[in-house]
Amino acid sequence: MNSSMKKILFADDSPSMRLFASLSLSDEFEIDTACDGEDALKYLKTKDYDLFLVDVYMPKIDGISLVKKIREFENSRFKPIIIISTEADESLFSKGRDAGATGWIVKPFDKDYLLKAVKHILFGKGR
Amino acid sequence: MKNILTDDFLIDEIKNRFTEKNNQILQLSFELDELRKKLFDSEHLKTKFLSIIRNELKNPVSAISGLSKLVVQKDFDSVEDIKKIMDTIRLEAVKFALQLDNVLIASSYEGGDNNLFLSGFDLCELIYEVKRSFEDEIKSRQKIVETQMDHEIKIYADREKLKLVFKNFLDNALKFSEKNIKIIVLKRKNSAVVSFYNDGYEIEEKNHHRIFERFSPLDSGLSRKYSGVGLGLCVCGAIIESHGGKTDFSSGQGSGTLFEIELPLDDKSQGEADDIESGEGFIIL
Repeated sequence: MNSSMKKILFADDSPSMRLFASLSLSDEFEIDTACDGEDALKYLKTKDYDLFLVDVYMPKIDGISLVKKIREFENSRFKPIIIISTEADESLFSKGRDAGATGWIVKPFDKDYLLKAVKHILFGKGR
Repeated sequence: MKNILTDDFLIDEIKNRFTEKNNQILQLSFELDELRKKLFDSEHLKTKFLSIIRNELKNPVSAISGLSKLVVQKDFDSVEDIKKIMDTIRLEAVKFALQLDNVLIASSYEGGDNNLFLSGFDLCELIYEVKRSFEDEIKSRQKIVETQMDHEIKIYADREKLKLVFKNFLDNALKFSEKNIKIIVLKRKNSAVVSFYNDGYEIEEKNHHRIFERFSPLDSGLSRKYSGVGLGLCVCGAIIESHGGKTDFSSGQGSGTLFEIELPLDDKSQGEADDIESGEGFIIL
């Protein structure tokens, strides 16, 4: 693995989505996948990431709560966090924003869309 | 004797009637508040439910569309890698189909359509069929599913709806069990009794009354321990009831959870077998 590759943590309780994210992004990024919020925090304690992709509905710690917890880590305070959800709802956007999320991607999406969004956030004009 | 309507009497009478009407208005106002609250709760529940449904149906679609496109676009090192992805796609499609069936049946029951398409078939064979359809998932979750059945129990029922019932119960058992699941089918007087036991997650007593309720996954916030629409058991309850059957369950105190489904065996099902019975993939008209 190229150590200069940007590191992404993808948290989703669906094994299929984790497989999809891994296959879509692993050619150009170093990607770790977590099965829920608790699992994601374990990864965060051992590694610094450049981008977080977080599903909303997850067991143990949900996506919105995970965003808040990620922001509590010194090295993640200003890193981009994208929420992934089947919903595009103003009240949820608002919760995400208040928690500290950077953006929102609505499912379903394909590999091209995901790659484009990730590259835009990491290398483009996005924060 | 002369009736004398004095001013005082009239005033008192008016006051009494006014008070009575006032009380009636207050009572109606209270009832209206209660109805408003129920409507609000119902709307809130529906919104929550729709949110859960959207998630549970769109997630598999998302995985299926994303993964299948990847298979076309990406170069893979081996056929095994492709097979693994195709298998994941297949399992997501199966998950999706079950949830979709639940939603469709729930909608038709909500619309007042609880018609049954009755045919004669062997209940034990149906259970085996359902278990076979979950074989891959049983393997991948590393669970053990034992079955214990009488030889053959002929029943006259809606085969496809009962298949959905047993799929839901087995799906639940796979989600909530630690390791072991048992399916027992036997005859009890004029009924067939199908029991699903799992050794896992116990349902707290405070939730017992909600088990078969609509829109009621027992954990339905953003952070949910188990996926599932919360329709499964409600749909099962409705289908069993429309067959004239009943459900029961017991859970707790370290002994896992047991669901029992009792279905009546009427004269038609206990009579001589038809020459051809309905079976896997076909229904005799």
